[in-house]
Amino acid sequence: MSEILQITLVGLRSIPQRLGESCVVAIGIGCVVWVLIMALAMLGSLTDTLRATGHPDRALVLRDGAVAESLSSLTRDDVARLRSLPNIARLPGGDVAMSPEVLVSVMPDDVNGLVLVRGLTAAGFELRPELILVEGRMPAEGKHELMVGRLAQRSAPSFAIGSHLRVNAVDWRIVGVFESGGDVHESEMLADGPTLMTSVGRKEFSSATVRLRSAQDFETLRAVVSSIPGANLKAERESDYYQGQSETMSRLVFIVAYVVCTIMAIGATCGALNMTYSIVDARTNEVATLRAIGFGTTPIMVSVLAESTVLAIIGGSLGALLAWVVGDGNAFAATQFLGPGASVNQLTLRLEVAADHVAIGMLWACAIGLIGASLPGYRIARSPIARGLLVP
Amino acid sequence: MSIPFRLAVSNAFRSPLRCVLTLVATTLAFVLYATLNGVVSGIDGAFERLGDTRLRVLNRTGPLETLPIAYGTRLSSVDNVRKVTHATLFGGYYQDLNQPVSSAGVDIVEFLDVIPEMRVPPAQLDRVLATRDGAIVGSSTANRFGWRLGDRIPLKSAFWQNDQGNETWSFEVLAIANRGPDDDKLYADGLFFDYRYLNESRLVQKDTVQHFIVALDDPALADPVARAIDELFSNSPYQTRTLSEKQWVSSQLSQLEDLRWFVKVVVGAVFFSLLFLTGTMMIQATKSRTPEFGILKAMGFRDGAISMMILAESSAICVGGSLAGLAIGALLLPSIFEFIGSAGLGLSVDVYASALGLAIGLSALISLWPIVYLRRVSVTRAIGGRQ
Repeated sequence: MSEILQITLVGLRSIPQRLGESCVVAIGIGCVVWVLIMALAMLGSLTDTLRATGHPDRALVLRDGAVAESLSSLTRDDVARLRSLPNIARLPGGDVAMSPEVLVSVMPDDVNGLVLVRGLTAAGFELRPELILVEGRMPAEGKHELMVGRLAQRSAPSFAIGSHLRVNAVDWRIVGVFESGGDVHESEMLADGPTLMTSVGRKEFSSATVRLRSAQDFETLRAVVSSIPGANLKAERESDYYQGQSETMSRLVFIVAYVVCTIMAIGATCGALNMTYSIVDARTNEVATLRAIGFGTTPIMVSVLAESTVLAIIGGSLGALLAWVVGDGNAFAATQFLGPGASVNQLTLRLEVAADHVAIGMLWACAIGLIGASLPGYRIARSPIARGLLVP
Repeated sequence: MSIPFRLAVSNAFRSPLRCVLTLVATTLAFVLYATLNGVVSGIDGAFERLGDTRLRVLNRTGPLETLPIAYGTRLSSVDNVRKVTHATLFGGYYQDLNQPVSSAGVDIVEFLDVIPEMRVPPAQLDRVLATRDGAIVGSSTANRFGWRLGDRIPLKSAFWQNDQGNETWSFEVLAIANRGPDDDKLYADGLFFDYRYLNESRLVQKDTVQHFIVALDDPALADPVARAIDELFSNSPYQTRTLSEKQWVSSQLSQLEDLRWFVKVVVGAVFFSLLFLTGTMMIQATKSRTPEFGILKAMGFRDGAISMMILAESSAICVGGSLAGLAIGALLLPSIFEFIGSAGLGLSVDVYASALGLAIGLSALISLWPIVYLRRVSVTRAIGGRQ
């Protein structure tokens, strides 16, 4: 064991003599880890945001077959029938804990892009205790006022309190900023429901959110909702709904991220192999001498692998640091695209580099380092001693 | 073949394994360059090819709202408007949401008149016009899902339910559009069917359309006509927002900028590490052969000839690798476009030109140190192998 340690230390101490090659290994691996961590962070924030949304004791009532909340529609009759269902909790004031809401994908007059505006009433706020006003005030009833989510605001600095958003030739004033634990709703804007519906000419709601008496009541509610005659509705547990959205939206990002990173990793492995070959070539004489005086092949093999792993960890750490400096906190957009002119679910997400992304990055780094060092290590450990000693 | 060139070639393969490893790394870097930039420039290219002779008239609120179909007549009366038709997005997807099909209900005769890029064989068109649920399918969409003429296909709609209260609509594939190699690629993607089939079967929003398509006499008049249209409906129950086709599509793609950013990160990282790898490789190769270069110098080869040898050796790796990478990229791109559901995108010449430029620049950059070193080193020192 001490043999292995000694030779490894000899190898590590001589890294500065082979600075060029060592840098190439570390930089090659660092670049892969950088991109990998960024991709994982992007993917992670997409799935985390969607999964963080929704509580198990709340349910979403949608038109049966609707693939997204913004594409669902509920008539006033539907809403009236839902109100009389059992299993729905009561609000402190005695009202049914239900919030019929309207979602409008709005194209503001002066902004290129879409903004999702959710129209709700006081019940909608009461149902969602996680929704907290952090700046300004709530939109007043009957007024063209908006409250903007923290993430939506991050994506467009013009969404500041006091600024106006022109929708359908009407000026909507931004009066407040809210946070809701970094979930999906933070990329939305909130408005007074009836005002929004009148303003954009909508007669139907999009969905209704209800709070259950207890999370166990969901199955009963689902059965009751789907059996309302002629209504064609479905109830989904809020958390399940967003879980489903996260699966369809993250699939492409997932595949792209892993394919790109795998190709990069193969390239980096080629680079590491290349450079480790020249590192071991430079050490031919030294290694042959060590073996001549009695050191075994295993300690030499281990020392080559250890050196490469150290370089991989240095490179990986640099990559992780770079990802954290460059990427962490960046806002980016995600949309579900259904062909030209048809996209739903505009989300603004915040890139967050988490510990598990760094851990996966370091794992990849070590794997590249080890694979890159194994063949050259094998070669040097097995090559004839006599010939090695003759190399100047 | 001149001696320096033959030397350069045999030198490049002196250490075959390491040469192959460097070539593979270079090739992979260019595969990523070609495919990632290829996707971005394919999307950009599709934007460029969107005509400037047409406008899209939407509900001013947003793209998922509708307009009464009767607005079409008022639109035709606007000056400099040649022709007006309408389209209602269907938000179609085949089997599951990961297989979207761009699809719309249109007035087929008017639509083909306003969008001449879309070509349908006349015999097939007649059958579509005679069939209530007949569909025109773009050739690349048909290939993607293996649909043939006469197939009956179920397509789900994200937007519309039929009178049976479900979102699955049945279509008969009766025409394949833009099958020819010279036909427009953009309209080789998608499924178009008779608006009446949609309108009669859906239970809500009857007699509304998602947008109007306005063909102009003169593209230069696009802005004034767009203003005139929005002015015309400014006091109507539904106001309009008239966009050029480019604005119409780009307003939906807010993540395109993020994609660009991601591509820059990946390509930047890949080439940064490639520069170090090939650079170190060249420095090592030069140093280990210093005595040989000393002999060449002693034989009377000028610095210029030796510099050319170094350049030839580095370009063999960089340009060779880039050509291989670009070829693989070109083979992969059509499948990638198909995978992301936009088989209509085209390959861009610019990407290849810039990649070759990058390869040449890279080989020049990594030759710099060896060339300067060999110019400075004296013949005697070089032959002695001392640096």
